[in-house]
Amino acid sequence: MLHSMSNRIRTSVGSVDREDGKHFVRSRLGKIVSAVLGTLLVASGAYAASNWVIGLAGGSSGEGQSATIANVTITAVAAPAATNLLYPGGNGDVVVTISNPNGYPVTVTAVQLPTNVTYATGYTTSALSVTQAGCLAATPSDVIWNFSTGSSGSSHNLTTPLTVAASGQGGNPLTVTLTNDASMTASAPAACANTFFSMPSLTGITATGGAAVATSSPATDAWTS
Amino acid sequence: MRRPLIRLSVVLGIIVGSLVVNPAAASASNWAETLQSGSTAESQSQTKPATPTGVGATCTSLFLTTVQVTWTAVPRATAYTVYESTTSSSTGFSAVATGVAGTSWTSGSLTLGSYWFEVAAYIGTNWASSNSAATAPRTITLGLLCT
Repeated sequence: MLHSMSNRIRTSVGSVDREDGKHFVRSRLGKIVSAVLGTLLVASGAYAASNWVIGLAGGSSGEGQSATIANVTITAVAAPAATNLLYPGGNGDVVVTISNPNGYPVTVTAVQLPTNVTYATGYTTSALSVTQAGCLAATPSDVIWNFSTGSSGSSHNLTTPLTVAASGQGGNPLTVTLTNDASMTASAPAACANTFFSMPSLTGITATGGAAVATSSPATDAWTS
Repeated sequence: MRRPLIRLSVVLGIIVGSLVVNPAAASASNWAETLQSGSTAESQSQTKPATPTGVGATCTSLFLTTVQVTWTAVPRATAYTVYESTTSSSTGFSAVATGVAGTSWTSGSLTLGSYWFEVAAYIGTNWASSNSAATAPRTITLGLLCT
């Protein structure tokens, strides 16, 4: 009786006993192993899940390398028509579409602009095919990107990040009206009235690829500084 | 007793793993993207300012030889130019005041004769409207009366 009581006591405090040692080992060691195993299972699952989102499926190199990253394109469009039109000393809207050729969403958070002496070219119609005499970039037209500076590549944050859906998904390309992001100086030539402008090319964007909720098209956005 | 404890340990391990690992896994999926060169974007300018309306000329006083010209404001106009003719309502106009702010202008002392006036609106330096219609004539008569 005393021997069995001793065994029970020793078991409860975790002492090693010839009959209860196995139980002790399983009990404490088992808890530790279970906790570690659970952590590893979640880690591997999360890692695998994130890779599937990025797209390491068929078509990749087969060597486990990441998929090719294709450039985002930004293109002029005439619709929707700008609400705010340019005038000397004032600002106007700019309309673009953003196309994402990648198999995952891309989120644009900022744009990089050319200098404030890089001017737009004027055209007679929204098709941007026939130039407007007396309103060319070299004239100059006096139309520039708003908030552009004397340095090329100045970066300007969008008020709201724009997420373009993965290739083939709705909302790609994404049409965006950039409110009041074009500017016309007070000395703009008279020939630049009632004219359509092809804005100077952006020098770059700040954007990342990865899982995100796509922005609905058409959208409205801007940089304000 | 031991089995429930083991199950609890596994669950706790999963919870801890979720809290620790997921944020790192999400950020690893954000790749930097670049812009294809040669981007384009479209903007548009408005038309030139509208022709001023409601242009009129009135004598400031019967016994004074000055005339006040008034008109209705044009949207976004930054200045106005006043033209005067002593010939007729259709010819001989020349600018007598430029960069006029507001919607009125008063001449200096005028000599004997009849005067017609027109107004043009400007946005900025170079965008000008067409001249308005000419006002009715104002005449400075002998005795220097303005009618």
